[in-house]
Amino acid sequence: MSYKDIVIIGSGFGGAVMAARLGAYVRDALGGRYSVHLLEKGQDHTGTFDEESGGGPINEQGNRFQHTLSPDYLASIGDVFTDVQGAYQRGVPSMNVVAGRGLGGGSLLYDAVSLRAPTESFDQLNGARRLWPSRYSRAELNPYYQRVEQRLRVHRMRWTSEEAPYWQLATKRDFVFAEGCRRIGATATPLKLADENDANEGWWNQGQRFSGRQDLSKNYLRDAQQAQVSFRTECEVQRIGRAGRGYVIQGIDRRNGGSRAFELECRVLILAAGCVSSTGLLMRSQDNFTGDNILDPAEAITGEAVLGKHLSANGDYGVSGTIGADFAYDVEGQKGKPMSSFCPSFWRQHQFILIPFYAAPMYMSLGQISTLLPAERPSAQGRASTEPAQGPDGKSVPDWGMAYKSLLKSFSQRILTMGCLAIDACEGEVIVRDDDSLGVQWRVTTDATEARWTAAVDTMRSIYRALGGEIFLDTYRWQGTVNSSHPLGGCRMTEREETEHGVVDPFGESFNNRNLFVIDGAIIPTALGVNPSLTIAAVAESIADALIEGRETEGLASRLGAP
Amino acid sequence: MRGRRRRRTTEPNSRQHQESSALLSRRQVLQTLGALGFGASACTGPLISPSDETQRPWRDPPINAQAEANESARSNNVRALMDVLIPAERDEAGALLSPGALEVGAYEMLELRNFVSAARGQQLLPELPGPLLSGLGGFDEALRSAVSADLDALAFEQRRFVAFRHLPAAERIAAVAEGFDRDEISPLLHFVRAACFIAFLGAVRSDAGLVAIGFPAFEDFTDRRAVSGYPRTTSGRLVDPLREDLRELAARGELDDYTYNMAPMPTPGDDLSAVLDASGDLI
Repeated sequence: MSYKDIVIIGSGFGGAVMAARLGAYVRDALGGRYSVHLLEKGQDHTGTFDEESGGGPINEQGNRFQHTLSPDYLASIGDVFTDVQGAYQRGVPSMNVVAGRGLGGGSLLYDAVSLRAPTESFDQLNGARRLWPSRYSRAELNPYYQRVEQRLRVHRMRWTSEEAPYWQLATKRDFVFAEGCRRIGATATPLKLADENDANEGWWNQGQRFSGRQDLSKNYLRDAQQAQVSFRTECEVQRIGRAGRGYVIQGIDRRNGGSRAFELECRVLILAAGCVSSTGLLMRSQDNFTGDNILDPAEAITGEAVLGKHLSANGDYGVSGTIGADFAYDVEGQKGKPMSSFCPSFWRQHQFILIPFYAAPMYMSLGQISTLLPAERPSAQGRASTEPAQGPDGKSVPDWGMAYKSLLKSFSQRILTMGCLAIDACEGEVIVRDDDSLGVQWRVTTDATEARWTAAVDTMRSIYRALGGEIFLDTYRWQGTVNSSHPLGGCRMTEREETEHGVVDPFGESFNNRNLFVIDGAIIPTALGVNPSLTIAAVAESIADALIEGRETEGLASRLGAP
Repeated sequence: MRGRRRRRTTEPNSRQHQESSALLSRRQVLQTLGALGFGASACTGPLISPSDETQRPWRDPPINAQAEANESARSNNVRALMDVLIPAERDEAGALLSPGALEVGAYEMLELRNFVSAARGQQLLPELPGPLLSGLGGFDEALRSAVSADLDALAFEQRRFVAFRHLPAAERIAAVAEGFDRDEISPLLHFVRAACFIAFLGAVRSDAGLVAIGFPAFEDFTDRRAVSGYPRTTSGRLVDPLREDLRELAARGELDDYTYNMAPMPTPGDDLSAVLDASGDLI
């Protein structure tokens, strides 16, 4: 069996940071005497990290991305975790979660929004207990946020070319949204993004053809490569277990069209496969961790599992609607960056922000994210109280036919999509099905989350009406489906003395398994209310520092047995 | 009144019977769709339980000696349905003005191999072993057969003894609307609808659907290269905003840009300094 000293599973905002930082430390401080290895289940789109990886031809932008909406292609760069059972039953809450797949993880799909989480996010309580470990606060993380922003070349968008270079300007969609906000007494403001000399190519979140997006292969992963970290892509880890020197990793190697089982032993194992995948990997591996090494000590203490629970959708709630025919400006949402402004005016009172964004018409015609259907009672509140509007024949307005096609023809000019991110109560959970595949569930929405979403939808409806249009039926109120692009939790971190409330300690280390870490969105214990990539990376930077310096946790050198 | 499936007359012991006995029944098609889980993204209501015999309005299809002729008839029904779901628009001479589902390859999307990849992308399916996929041979034909049978049943309620594809346009639309309201029929219609919209808006085999709703054509569809980069001229040329006068282009009506390059009007009374810091983060 092969052996590596440090193995990192996953290459997103947690894994890439850990690979870069620990790789550099091993190279510079430990003389390169230890091996650092990264496993990624998706492809290497650059063709430069894993020499044994296949894939399509490299294009003139230096990657293999296709700039297309083809479902086949999208399946190769993204995962959708879903709730098959709930999806069949109208009115039963259900959930879909999107995650990146490939070297760079979520950075391949995300809209590059790079916001620091607000103070309130870290101060959330459950009763009298602070959900975040005490070492984490906005103030404590600020230096790490800054470090990540510098590495990702984060900058703020602007409205006019008098303020910034042309490639940094907010889109037509954002201008329309801003006018809608103004008309209801609110304000839209440009976002901070991690793009660089972006070509404003539009459709940006479906793969990346151009070099403008700062996906992680351009910064942290490049740093890791330079630090002699080795990469193996198209290798999906199925299970982990304990082994002589630390841990054994079992998976399937799918490079070059193959399907070969592999095993790998390591001393230090860092799970950074993403919120659902890291959590699911631990859940699938529980049988390999028994007795004093159980992965979920909370279950032994309270009888209730924590692993897999408390999955946050980060309050994601998307809607679409029309703007009025008389409104002077077209939306043209498919042009430019997919997100470049937001409205923070309601954060203090309701703890949600609003963001207009590009959503492909295919998704909305299939009832994902939102719909293009008029609602019978758009003023209805609550989840199960809105039905599709009826036509003169008493039947639901169809989502097919000539009239629907005509509506689609107005997609570019008149259809505006927006959504909220908010504080939810982490009502979701990760599940492992009988066939070992992973899914998600969302069965009960708390009153607090319901009220927050109702307030957000009311606000968004008022924006559409202020622009002379109307909101469409959304999938949550119609089908009970929570669609999230920003899953968090499932493997919560907590204080070391509160093992009944979490799975890992404040440094992502398993309570009962030294040198087994989870360092990605899975350990974030609450919703953030803003896009989470910057926070995940900042938390990883903070943990990397602690490991390197041996501060508040055992140092990496000691863990590796370095003299 | 529930439609009745037309009876075919063929000797049950013929060679065609032995070949056609591999045709999946409607029940088996529904079971397969349920197992695939693909209907989750297409259906808005509960799938009928395929094991509930009392809900099935007709029996397993009897043998058909004229397999080829009936296959084309069935496929014409399915094509006719697709033209109802996303219709093509034509002028009086029949020339195509705007493509519909058929013109962008929706019919080819109604194949198991295409569904499997889409369902895999939706995480509704694990990786299926090759023997299982090959064991589902005949599924495509069975699916189209089931859809076609449903459509003829609906058509019967509009005009007796007239196939769906032969109904006048208004009655085809009425039949489809009725089908979507029937729990036992709507799952398959939703399935076909999903195929139509994936083909029309997903640029799987053609970008004509996206062009029809206002998107620019792909720079190179074969290479999967969509239009990228703004600003451009209305003729498609990429513009360098540092070297060219965008105002002049706009004045001539030649500018295709992604921004209005304008600041929105301020909102009196909404002080963001209470919630945002100088760098644009929530405090």
